[in-house]
Amino acid sequence: MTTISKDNELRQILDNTAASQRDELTMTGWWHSIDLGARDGVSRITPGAHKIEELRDNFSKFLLPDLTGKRVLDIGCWDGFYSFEAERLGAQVVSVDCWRPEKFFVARDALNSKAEFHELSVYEVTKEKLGAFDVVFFLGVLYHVKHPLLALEQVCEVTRDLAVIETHQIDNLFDTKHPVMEFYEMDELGGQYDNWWGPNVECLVQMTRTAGFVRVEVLRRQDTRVVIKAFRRWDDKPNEVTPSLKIVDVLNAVNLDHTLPRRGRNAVLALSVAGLPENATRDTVRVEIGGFGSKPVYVGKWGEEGNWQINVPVPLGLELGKTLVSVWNGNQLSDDFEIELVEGGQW
Amino acid sequence: MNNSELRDQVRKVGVEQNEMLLSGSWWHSIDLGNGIVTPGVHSLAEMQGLYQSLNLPKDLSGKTLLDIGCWDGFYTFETERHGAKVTSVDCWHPNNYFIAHEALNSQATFHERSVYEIGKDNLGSFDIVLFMGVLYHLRHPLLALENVCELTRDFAIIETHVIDKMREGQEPAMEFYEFDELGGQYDNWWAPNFECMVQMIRSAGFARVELLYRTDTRAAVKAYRRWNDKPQTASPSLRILDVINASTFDHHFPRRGRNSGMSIWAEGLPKTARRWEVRVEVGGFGIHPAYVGPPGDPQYSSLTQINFPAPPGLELGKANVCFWHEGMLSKEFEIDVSEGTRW
Repeated sequence: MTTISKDNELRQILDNTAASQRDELTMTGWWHSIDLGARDGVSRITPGAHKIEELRDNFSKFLLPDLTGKRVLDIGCWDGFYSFEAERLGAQVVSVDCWRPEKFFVARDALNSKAEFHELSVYEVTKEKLGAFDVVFFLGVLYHVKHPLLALEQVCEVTRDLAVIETHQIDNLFDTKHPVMEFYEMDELGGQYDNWWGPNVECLVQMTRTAGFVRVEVLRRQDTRVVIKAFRRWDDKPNEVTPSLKIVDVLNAVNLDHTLPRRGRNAVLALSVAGLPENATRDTVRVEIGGFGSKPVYVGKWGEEGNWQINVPVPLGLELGKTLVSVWNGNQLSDDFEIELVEGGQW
Repeated sequence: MNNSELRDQVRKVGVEQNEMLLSGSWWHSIDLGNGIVTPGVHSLAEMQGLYQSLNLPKDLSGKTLLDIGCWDGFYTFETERHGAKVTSVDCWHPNNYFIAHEALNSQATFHERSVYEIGKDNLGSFDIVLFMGVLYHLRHPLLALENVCELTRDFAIIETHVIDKMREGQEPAMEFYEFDELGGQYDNWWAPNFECMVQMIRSAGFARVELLYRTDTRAAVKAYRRWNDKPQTASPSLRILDVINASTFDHHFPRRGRNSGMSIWAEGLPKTARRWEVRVEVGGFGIHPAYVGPPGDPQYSSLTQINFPAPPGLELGKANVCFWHEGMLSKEFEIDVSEGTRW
């Protein structure tokens, strides 16, 4: 029963860490250490529960592309370390939190920052309200929300390129190969009442894909935390079209008609495709819709003519109207097929 | 049966049931009268047995009942036969429901809605809500349970697939199905173990949960909006000095949204009182305290602070708050409930 005592030990460490961070937070009022620049030759770094070396190390390990001119969204910004760091690297930043973090404004003034703040719940973060972003930070938020998959869907909707997602995870607390998420009814995790769910890494990766990201890379694992990078596009699209692979038709997978809503419970497409090789599966077939990747949920033979059926969700964040669909498998790429997206309900 | 055998068994049954449906079976067997019973994947005897095990009152006359995920409508028509005024909801248009509806001359009303789209604002509230075989089909199960709670006045019956026999460990958890891992079906998303199911139901706002039945892979519970141990008369020794908003510390009480948590400042509660021994009632609905203990500010250390969420489904305007502990009931304290935000 060594695993159980290890679990208990880890849970104890979690509780202790959370308690000492709360103490530091109560003492100084800062969560993040932020370098506000020197004044009169004296360096000014805010006394955060998280030290500046730790935060800088975290940021560098995200391995982000050049942020010059990029739009960055920081969901759950708190005092704003990640917002101000992205801005320092040239990004245009929007910061969101579900409360009004006074210290964020203190740091923003001191840094003369242009970061724009919105007090919103993650469920209220939409493309309609904030636009879309090249890079989205969703750091240390997931386990605080009651509806984690819904939150990830909102994150996906506003992401154009990639999201960095960091969370508490339970791989070392739960011995299972299945994707699972633990529930915290009260203050079971770290003695705090605002913790709801802890996924294992497999569950996190699967939820992130289900939310609409096509590729997920695990960047960093610690005892009880993990950082992943989630992408909206495939990285293996062939350059040239293969005429033998062809999209014959695109139907609504639920109603089997040509009404294609951009979101809601009927926003699933059934592609009728000719020319796929016999060994194609949902793991080898890639679909792109309106520039975003979409991962097939079903790939199989359709009817008597030897065509294939590929069912894919409509990716989140698409505009209404004409949209191009293409499909590839290995180095075979279809031509673009034009569809027309109409409005759908939220659910 | 071990874990993986049970998983295989669930898949086998799922695939068989799917094939029956594709070849024209109904999901429910429903007695349409004149010796006609619809050919359901679930036999009439099985359906009647399940209905018995829900332990509903024989006489439902005068009760309003909501059947969420009604499909062919067995529970809708059966509760209607027992006198209930029934509203049925499903996220698609189940044709067989309408065939049975007509054959039985049913007065049940149907709405094509997702569970996330139903609320007190658009359907009103119901004495009894049935939420059978839906939970594991949802991407956001806790959100759905919050909606179910908002619509429920007395109790809800919640039935779902559970995974207790498919994994080790008793911690409350649910398992995710990215594709067709559960029963070979693509519309299954999450399945909880029993403990997780109960905790989610309480977190959604129900006061009490009672087990109805459990099999290897399923569980049904009765979830109540009210406590069953409220003392008859108030005791002068327990007093509510104030009720404040737990997030903003003022006297605004939004009925929903992230700032709808409330805080009672109480006098006369023994220091040994634990959160699971203290009962709170707001506007007639019971709710679990999340915190019972000393206030943060040491100058009020003789008092007890009781934090709890606003129960879903409160009416706007005046509402009474009271609490009790070991047979001692506080007097009522009046608050003014205002509109809140969705999230």
